[in-house]
Amino acid sequence: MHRKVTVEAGDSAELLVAWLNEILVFSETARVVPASFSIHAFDQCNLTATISAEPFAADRHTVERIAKAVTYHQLVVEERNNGWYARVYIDL
Amino acid sequence: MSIKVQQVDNWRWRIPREGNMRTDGLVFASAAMMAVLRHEQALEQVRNVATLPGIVGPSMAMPDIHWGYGFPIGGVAAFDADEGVVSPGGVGYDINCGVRLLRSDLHAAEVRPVLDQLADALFRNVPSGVGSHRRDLKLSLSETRKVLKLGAAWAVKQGFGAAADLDHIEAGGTIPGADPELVSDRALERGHDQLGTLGSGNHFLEIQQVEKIFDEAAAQALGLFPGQLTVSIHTGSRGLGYQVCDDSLRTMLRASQKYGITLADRQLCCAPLTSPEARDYLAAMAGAANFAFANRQLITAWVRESFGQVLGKGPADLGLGVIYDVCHNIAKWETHEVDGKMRRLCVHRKGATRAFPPGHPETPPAYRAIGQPVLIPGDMGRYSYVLIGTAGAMRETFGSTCHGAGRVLSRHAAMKQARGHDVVGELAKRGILVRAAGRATVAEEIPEAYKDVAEVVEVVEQAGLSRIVARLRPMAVIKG
Repeated sequence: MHRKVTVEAGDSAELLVAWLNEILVFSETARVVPASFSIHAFDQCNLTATISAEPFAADRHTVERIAKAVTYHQLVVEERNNGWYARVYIDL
Repeated sequence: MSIKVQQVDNWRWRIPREGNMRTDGLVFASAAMMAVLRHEQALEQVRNVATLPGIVGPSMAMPDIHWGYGFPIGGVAAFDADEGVVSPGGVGYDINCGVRLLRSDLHAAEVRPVLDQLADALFRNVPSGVGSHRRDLKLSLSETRKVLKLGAAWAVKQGFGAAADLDHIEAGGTIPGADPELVSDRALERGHDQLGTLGSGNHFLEIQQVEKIFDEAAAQALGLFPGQLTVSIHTGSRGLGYQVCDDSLRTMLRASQKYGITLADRQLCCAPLTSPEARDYLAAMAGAANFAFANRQLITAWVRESFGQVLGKGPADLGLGVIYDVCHNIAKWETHEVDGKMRRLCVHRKGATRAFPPGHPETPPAYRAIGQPVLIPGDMGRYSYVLIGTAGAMRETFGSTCHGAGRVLSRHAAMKQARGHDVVGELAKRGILVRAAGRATVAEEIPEAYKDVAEVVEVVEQAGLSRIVARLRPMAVIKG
């Protein structure tokens, strides 16, 4: 199962939250387990991607815990010397 | 950041106004609790809330305070109708997460021999795992919109429970002013097949027995007696509420910039109460709150169904009536006396419970002589409490008190501590049966993960914010 999504946000940190939220909502509403992601276009405020997932099956997928929300709490996305640093809290 | 804290008395601690704070912080806690709190983020969050525009009175925290997203959990903050703001982060993701307590005409001892069957029936009849829902309840999107408007009254209209149930729910089970058109399609999509489901995390359904009565007269008014079987339901607005919060946070991030509000943390984003953004949020939030009331009402119907199936008794013999149903994640318009004047305020309670005093018009007539019931769940190995609201809470905390035990261990730390333990087996030896859908849930929710709720309720009683009526001991716990 595939879903193409486009997200936009005010800056790169909010874009990360918006993107993770797309994955969470797709997983919850379509009852799927996201497995791979293809990023088609990506800049500071916009992202287009395809999420590939398989249907949730209780006999094959063990539920450890459920992600309920991707939060803005102490959100950080910044470029550092050796690359990028991100901190995002997910509500369980 | 080190936070300056001054002890006011045995149960009160002030965070004095400094820097960009607009008011003091006020934390209700014992000295032992404060010794731990000093090393946590939560006090900084009390301080951050004190920086928001139009805050009236101190930025407060109840003794079950622990760090949350933006606002602390256990936080209470009131805002002026003209100068103040509303913040979705001050309500939380799980809008109208709350607790409902059912009484019964049953003695716990007579049910003990069939407790296993009862726990199984509840686990079967009340959906709690990933994607599980009742096959006999299918809601179209247009019907879901009616739920948002009507709340518990929608469920009663559909035959889930009696009209009398509504008299014993905060706000009668319907927060006025809900506008389903302001709830996104995505929120409806997340919510429409989650109505009547428990959810995961700290949510639960519990069969309990009344272990101790502290206030005979109040217990009698509530219909509680020693050895009685009671049922507690702790859940909220599920994915629908989460999505309403998420949608609103995006709007409020833009609104905070638009109205020039400086934020200590993005999760504190907010809008002036006079703005269209605030009006839209409150109307969507009311819809999600009503969804939560309907959720607890449906679960109540299925609890009654389960007891009927196992005990072979009819509703009249079971006597499973609603004692009360409280919200502990909500923002509400209320009128409070401030410096001798009555003022209309938007009171945010995030992990805090309304605790209105005797005689208050919003307390159900049956309880008007004793005060509004307050339901405080503890952890699954110890006990929960029933309290009542007081004039002291009305004077000092905008009629608010604590909401639960409050975590002391992170989920990760709890998992680590539970490793190698047969948590379910150990609880069973103590007479507490557990049924859980998620593998990690039980480990993360071990009793040691929480403060002793007895210490929490002692603080609110000693501080005059509530009075303790009864203690309930768990017999069977259903977890998501």
